[in-house]
Amino acid sequence: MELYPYKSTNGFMEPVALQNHLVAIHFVKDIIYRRVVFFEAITPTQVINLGALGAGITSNRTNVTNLDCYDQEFGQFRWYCLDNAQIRVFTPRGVAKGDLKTLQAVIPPNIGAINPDLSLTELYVWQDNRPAIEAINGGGVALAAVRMVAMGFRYRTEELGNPVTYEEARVIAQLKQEQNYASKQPAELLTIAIQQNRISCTHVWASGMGAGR
Amino acid sequence: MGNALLDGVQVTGPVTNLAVAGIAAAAAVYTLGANWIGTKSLKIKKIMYRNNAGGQTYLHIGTGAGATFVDLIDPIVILNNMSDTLEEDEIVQREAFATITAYPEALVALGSVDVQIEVAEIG
Repeated sequence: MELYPYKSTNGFMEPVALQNHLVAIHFVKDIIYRRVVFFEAITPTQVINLGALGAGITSNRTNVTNLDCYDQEFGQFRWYCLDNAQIRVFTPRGVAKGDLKTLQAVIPPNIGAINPDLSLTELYVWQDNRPAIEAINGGGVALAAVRMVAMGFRYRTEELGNPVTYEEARVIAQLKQEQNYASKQPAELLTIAIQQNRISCTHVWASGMGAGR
Repeated sequence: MGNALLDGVQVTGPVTNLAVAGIAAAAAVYTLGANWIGTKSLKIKKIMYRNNAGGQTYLHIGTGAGATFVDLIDPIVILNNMSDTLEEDEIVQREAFATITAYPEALVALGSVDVQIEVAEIG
């Protein structure tokens, strides 16, 4: 089964991990190793309305607090704008998403026609580290609203502990036979196994990446 | 290429009889409801109208009434004793964020206009 970020499908989207899967959540400079214990779908829902926006005006950068997740949880979201505005995304607020050397990519209002499964809009939110957005009304007509609709999955996770799957138990047993790791606990060994690519783990990036990081 | 994400849900309003002329008498022809979550808007997809011996006049369709009335689309000429339909291709897809109202500019005595619209509810 291939599950990976930004996966493009004929339908809308697939979860990036399933129950008991290992995930590595990258947030700015941190990497948080967790196990998924529960996940469920978040159906398309308006998560923010930036309100009226005049012609040629860029909105203030606004936190999308409705995309906050509970403690221990991360979200996988795709989204689009219902109104004729271009959207810039920042996660967290100070770090641009889709940042190239000379420009920052935007979500255009016709994203649904160009990229129907919205795979290119996918982003991840670790706990309450919500994204922020700016909208620009590049049209000649004032907009009465700038509404964003998001959908995806939320994942409850737990810290790594004892192995759950046969494969994890096998890899840990193998590591324990190596001199450097003989005294380490299962959680540490699982982390080491992930870091050394000895066991499968899905990496997700819950933030942008600024220049020089 | 279409954009199904923006299509909305197509819904039909009731047949509304407009028996009083003038902007102050603008009456609701499609009422904008509230979502549990989010903001809804409307785009008119179809207009059916019948002039019940009201004399030739203009039918205004917009939002608000009286001083707050704003035309959504250009007024439509409606001929005495005639009915007609405008389809989506013939209607400017202007978005309304309020209940859609309509009024005939003038009516002869005992005349009225029936209007029914179909909208896409977006959001």
